Amino acid sequence: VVALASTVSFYFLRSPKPLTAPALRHLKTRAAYVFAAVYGAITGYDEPESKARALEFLDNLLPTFERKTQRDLLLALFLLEHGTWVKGFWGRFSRLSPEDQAVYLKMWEGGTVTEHFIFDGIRSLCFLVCYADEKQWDAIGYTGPLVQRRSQSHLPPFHALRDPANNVSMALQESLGADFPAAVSRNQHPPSSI
Amino acid sequence: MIHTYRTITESQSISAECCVIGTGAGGSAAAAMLAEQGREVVLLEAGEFLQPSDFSQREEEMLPRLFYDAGARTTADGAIRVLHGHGVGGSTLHNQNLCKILPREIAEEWNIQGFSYSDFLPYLQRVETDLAVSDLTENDVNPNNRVVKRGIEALGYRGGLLRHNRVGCVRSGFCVLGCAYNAKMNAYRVYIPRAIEHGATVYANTRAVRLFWRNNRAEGIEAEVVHPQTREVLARLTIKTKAVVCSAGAIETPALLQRSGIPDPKQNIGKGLHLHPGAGVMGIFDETIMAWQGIPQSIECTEFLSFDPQENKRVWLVTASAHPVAAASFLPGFGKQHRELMQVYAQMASLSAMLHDVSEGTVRAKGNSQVVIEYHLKKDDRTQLALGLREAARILIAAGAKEVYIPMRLPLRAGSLKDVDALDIRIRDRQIAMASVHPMSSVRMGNDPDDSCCDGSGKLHRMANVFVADTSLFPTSIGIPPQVTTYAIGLWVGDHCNRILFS
Repeated sequence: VVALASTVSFYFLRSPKPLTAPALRHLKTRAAYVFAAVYGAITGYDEPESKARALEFLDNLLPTFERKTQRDLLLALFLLEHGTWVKGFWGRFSRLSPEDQAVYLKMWEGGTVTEHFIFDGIRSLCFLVCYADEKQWDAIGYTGPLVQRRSQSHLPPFHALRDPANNVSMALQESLGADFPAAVSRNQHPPSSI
Repeated sequence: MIHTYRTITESQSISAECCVIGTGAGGSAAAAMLAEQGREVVLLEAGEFLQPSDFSQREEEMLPRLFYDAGARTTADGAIRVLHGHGVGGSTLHNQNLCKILPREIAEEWNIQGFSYSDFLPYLQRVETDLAVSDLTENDVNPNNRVVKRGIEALGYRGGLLRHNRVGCVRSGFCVLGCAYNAKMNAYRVYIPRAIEHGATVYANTRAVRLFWRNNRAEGIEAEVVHPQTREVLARLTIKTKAVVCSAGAIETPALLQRSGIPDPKQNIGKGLHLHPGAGVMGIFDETIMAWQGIPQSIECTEFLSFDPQENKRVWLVTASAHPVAAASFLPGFGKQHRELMQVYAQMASLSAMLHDVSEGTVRAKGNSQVVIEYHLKKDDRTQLALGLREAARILIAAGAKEVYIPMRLPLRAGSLKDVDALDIRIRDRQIAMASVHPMSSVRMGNDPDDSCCDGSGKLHRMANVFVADTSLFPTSIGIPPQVTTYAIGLWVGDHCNRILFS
């Protein structure tokens, strides 16, 4: 019992590999450590500065995800970090050698449908975080957007919508932007008939 | 008038003669046709009302706003990514503007009472006029398409320039992320304004939950106004109506009808799904390609696509380009090897093989908003897709690629035509990245109510006033991009709905 208790506490209390991480507002530290390890193994950008940048990017992106997606992400990271035991590895994912990490991830990639879903979701997220970051674009020769604007990636929080001050007296025309009437007027030609 | 989640702050009940669910190609055209004929029309759209100024050309911002499940929706086994759009304008907001009309052979094979090709042709022609469809010119061909054209010519294959619906295109190459220049002659620019001009009202961020009906007649629709980011339900709408036109696409339309408990004793709704799936081949060139710049798809190869039932040629080859996030997802593998591949991203050209599939899947509603898509490729489809990938690889090699990649889990590589011919290409589930951008045939037209869902007018066999106006109606895959056919189906159904219920 003592041996088992010692092993369990050694495993769970020992923190993952330390990492130089930026100050994070939304991502919890433990999840950040795991994501950094997974990110390095999946994208091949495993330098500390790349990982730190990825964490910063994900931290900014996280509030734009649906709550369910945020929960799923945390669960997926937990399963990847601790699923090592089931796959025959000693120690959590973030502590494995890069070679073992690659072998372990290949097992997830070619595993059951659920494992494949989890792997594919995390893989897509890593590539999103990596290649949506304009600091990465020079390395791959991508020229980036031609318009200098940002979409409404951070919509007003829900409570603001309920604020009577934001109701704009239910003026429905508020929803019509400047472009839309222009689009209507550009198409004034009469419809052809059948 | 367009209402959005910002302005619909209270639950309310409204009434209209016709309610059209979905504002993509089918829904917008049906609504325009009904409104032009004097009907009072309400359109419901689950996605956002986005305007050109919202299109930032950034993947992390636009993918969640333009696609269901942020573009991550897949078949139940994870084998095929199913990309379909939402937003006022539906999938026409992100499509690549390819305009091909329904092949006569396909319509004749359908052989549906009340739906003949000669009767349908004027609707197709009207769409071509309304969308200002025109032939692309050599000036519209970007480097990715240029190398593909070179390869097609070198091998003597059949192919050439495509037709598009663009006016004022600046060839930015960001079509898939929404056109910031409003150059797409799409639902947003053509048919929705026309419907609004004739009095239609659009409710964006409003998801139809179920139809309520009695004695085989729909009486209305329950809908939720949903916050685009949190998905929180902000208000509920009840729309009382005399006619319902479902145009939410081949995935959402059957799911809505199933959730509504529409009479369907043989459970035909959701059956017969075709995905028109595709997979890509990448070629690495010495020259800089920058495939993401310019009009993404201007050249096609039709050498391996025939609608003659005697010929088993069912793959259509067309260029495929992607911005870096999507490109990285479709490239095989991970780790250092993947990073090295991405470092030659600018020298990469790609060509995809899209399958005119005979495999059939199902769509099943799960809960209030989820769907389960079951789909497995039949053996002959796998063989055809493998043939398409091999030919795509041959074209890229003939165009001068120093190496081609077929993105299997264990990537297949070849450096010469001889190597390509020797490749052992086998299509297995989850072993290759496949995508479907043209799901269709899940609420099929047909003559027999026991074997189909709708008649030749698009009306459900077992309902008096519920119509379907989107790709769900096609009894089979049509083997080509369905945009023009879907708009025409919208006009056709709108016209028939008006004649049947209001004339």
